[in-house]
Amino acid sequence: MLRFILRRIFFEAVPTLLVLVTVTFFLIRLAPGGPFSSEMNVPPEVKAAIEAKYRMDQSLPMQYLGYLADLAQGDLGPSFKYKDFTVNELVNKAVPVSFKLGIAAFIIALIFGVCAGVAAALKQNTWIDYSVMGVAMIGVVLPNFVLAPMLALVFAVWLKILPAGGWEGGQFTFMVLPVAVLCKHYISVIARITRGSMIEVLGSQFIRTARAKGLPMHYILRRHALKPALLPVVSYLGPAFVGIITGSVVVETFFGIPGIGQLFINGALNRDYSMVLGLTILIGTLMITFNAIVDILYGFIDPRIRIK
Amino acid sequence: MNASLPALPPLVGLDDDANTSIAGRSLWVDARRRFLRNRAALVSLCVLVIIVTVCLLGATLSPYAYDDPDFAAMHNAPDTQTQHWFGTDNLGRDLFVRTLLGGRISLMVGALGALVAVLIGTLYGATAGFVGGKLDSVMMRFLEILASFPIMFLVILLMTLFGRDLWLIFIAIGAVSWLDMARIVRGQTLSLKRKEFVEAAHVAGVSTARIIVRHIVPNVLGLVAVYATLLVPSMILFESFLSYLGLGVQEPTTSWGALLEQGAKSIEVAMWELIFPAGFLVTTLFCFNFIGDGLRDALDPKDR
Repeated sequence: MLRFILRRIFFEAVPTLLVLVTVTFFLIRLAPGGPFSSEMNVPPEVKAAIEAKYRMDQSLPMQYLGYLADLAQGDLGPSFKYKDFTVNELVNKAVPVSFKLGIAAFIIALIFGVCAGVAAALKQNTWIDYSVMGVAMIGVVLPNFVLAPMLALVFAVWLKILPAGGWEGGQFTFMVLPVAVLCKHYISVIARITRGSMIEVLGSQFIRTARAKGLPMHYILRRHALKPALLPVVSYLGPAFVGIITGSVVVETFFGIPGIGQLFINGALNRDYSMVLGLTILIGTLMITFNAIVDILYGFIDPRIRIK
Repeated sequence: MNASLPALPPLVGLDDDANTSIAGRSLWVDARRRFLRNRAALVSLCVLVIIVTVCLLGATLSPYAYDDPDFAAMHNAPDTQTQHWFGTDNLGRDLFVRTLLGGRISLMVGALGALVAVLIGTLYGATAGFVGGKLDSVMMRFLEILASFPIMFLVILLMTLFGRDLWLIFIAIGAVSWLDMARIVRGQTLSLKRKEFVEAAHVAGVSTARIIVRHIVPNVLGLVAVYATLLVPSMILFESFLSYLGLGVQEPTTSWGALLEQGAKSIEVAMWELIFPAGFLVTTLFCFNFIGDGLRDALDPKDR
């Protein structure tokens, strides 16, 4: 098991991360036009000082090594746009916001998705099954940027019971709509996956044996069926986590929530290279780490994975 | 259920007259028959054809141009009298014409993006699958590394760096979406390579090239068609997403995503600015999904 974990981390996660950093770094340096082309008339001393601050006076390989060294210490460098801030300061303010939003959506999606999926599987081909699957289909197809304005229209403009945007430190009422939009897709997908695998598990021999012994259905579900049925859900958690980060870009933009997603989009719109680079690396790191964790978790649950 | 099933074909050799009727039932004929029986897919196909036709030709019915502002008619509600069938947007431009133009752009991005993804993915996957060995493992390793990238963020990074050109959107979206395709095609190629009918063809002295053309390609093609159909809506969604964030197509050109962004901003004063583009987008996405599911059911050899 330890060998599996070490291999997963040092032969897969770390090299992937290095490739990501390298690719994004050189993409940025190859971009046409310097980041300061807007500032035409600055004295040469000022220009030199700026270039030194952003390490532009060194050769490309030196810049790369310098960036790597900074990164190793967790330093993402100064922001190109907000010149009084470093990327770290801006990111540190945004991360807790996105985190709170994402975790809430993640937990809700998991609970509701699994429950809906199990219910649909138990009542296969009844109206419960059909309505769960119908709603799930809509949930997968309807994009966030359509649902968000619609919910805002109904709950904020017509009914006036929830705010249409803002964050206010993450008060409950301000979180309802963003979380609802964010978790919609994952509830649907988790429900679909759970239903499929649950139906398969319920049809297998050991469940029939358990039923033949006369065990009550809720006991069979809890003790026998749930664990194998949830395996595919576990492997979906990695992509789901990434998706929730991605989805939060739209949600944060629409509801005006000061999280990473909004920071990233503003960085992209303002051509704030170091911000975009830093956030790409940060999110890539999160993604790669999370996928590694899920793989290792999977190795614990299902011994067959380890041997491969 | 039983009533709709066709009668079983007569056994070969027992009834010589029946041989001719069996000979015509190729994979594709069979698939078409099953697809036509799938009502959701068939309806979706019709609706999609209508949407595409309207997007391509509908704009000629309207007297307005897509980039013609009218400051006397901002945020006007839909009205047949003024011939603003879908109303006007924040600059008084006709929303009917703009929605159709947006549709053209969105559908084009969807189709071309999927095409790029299919081409790269099929070639990559087939090569890895056929050649096998060292090359295969290197190619798959590269794929895994790419797959663990935050793709969407990379695309946004590309858009930030190299400007927001429509062609760049096609290429960027297509170039990052071929990963699943490559994996599917490789898996299929690998399993086909070891199938008995391929071995039988080998034994019978059929050349490798002919085996690929006659046996491998038709079998992979069905799968490719299914995933291409399912890729199109995800491409459209991706483009809408970029445009919604202001990173996609630029004014005065538009796409469904860009229209939705404007619609979301003025939702309190002009609901139609959201509803019409959203209706078109969501309907199109539904259609593609149903058609993709229908194709998958029709072409899935397991189900035969």
